[in-house]
Amino acid sequence: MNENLFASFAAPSMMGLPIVVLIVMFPSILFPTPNRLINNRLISIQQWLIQLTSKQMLAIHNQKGRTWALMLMSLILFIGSTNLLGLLPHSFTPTTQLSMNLGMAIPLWAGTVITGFRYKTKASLAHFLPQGTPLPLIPMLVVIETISLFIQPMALAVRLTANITAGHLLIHLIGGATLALINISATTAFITFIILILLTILEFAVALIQAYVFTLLVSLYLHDNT
Amino acid sequence: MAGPETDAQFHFTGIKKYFNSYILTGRMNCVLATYGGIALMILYFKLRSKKTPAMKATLTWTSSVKFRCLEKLMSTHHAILNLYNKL
Repeated sequence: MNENLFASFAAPSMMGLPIVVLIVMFPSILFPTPNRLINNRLISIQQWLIQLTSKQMLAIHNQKGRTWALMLMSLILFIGSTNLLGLLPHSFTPTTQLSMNLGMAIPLWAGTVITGFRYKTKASLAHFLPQGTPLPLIPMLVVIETISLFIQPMALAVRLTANITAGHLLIHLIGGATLALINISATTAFITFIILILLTILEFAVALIQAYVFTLLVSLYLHDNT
Repeated sequence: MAGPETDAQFHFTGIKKYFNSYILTGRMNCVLATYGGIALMILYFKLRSKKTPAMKATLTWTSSVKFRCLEKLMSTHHAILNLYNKL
């Protein structure tokens, strides 16, 4: 039981070859490319959703920030689709791997910070000291703000990893408990099954919310630096 | 939001003109001064000598010419003694 609990988080391989790259690339084939002016219903809905999300997310940005539109939209689509596909039984979810999430978070965060330092050096440096800080607190606050800046990519990656991993583990545990209780008490097993259904609905919401939160935070870091 | 238009309302004189927590330049200078201070502290602790004065005095004595001559004299004395004992 203990061994099986974490078996779904191991990097998958087929005949000794790692297939995690194929799994990461898989969600891209689920999004059809619009190739006509007026597309079919599915592509029209897809375009409408992307337009709705991008309008809402890029409203706060200036001209420079809006150059990141493609990056942010790709990010939210990738994380959202990967998280949702991971809710299928016996599937592997790449976003449960901290290495993957750090690989997304660190370059994006570093990109925003370097953009800020390159184009608005004074404002980026002044950002480390909140306006109106009393004189004796200045050195301490500068150190605290520096630490909080470097914590940002770690928090971004760990938040996504922990949320998705915890959800999968809970589903695994409660599903196992339901199966174990069937022979002991049918009523308790039924209640546990209801909890499992509710948890699965919650996990669908968490999958989309975490994708949105990740992208929104990257967007906010970009807004601070442009 | 801080910027040139909000900075214009503040009129500082002396050192406060360059180091304050209200205008952009002042905040930047405070941040750079803090980082500079931390860097200087790290440099100071890295470069300061780890040896105590007693150790320093011993090392100075052991590396001196007088000590080397004495050492050579003692080793020659021991060699002559050994030769004498063999005979």
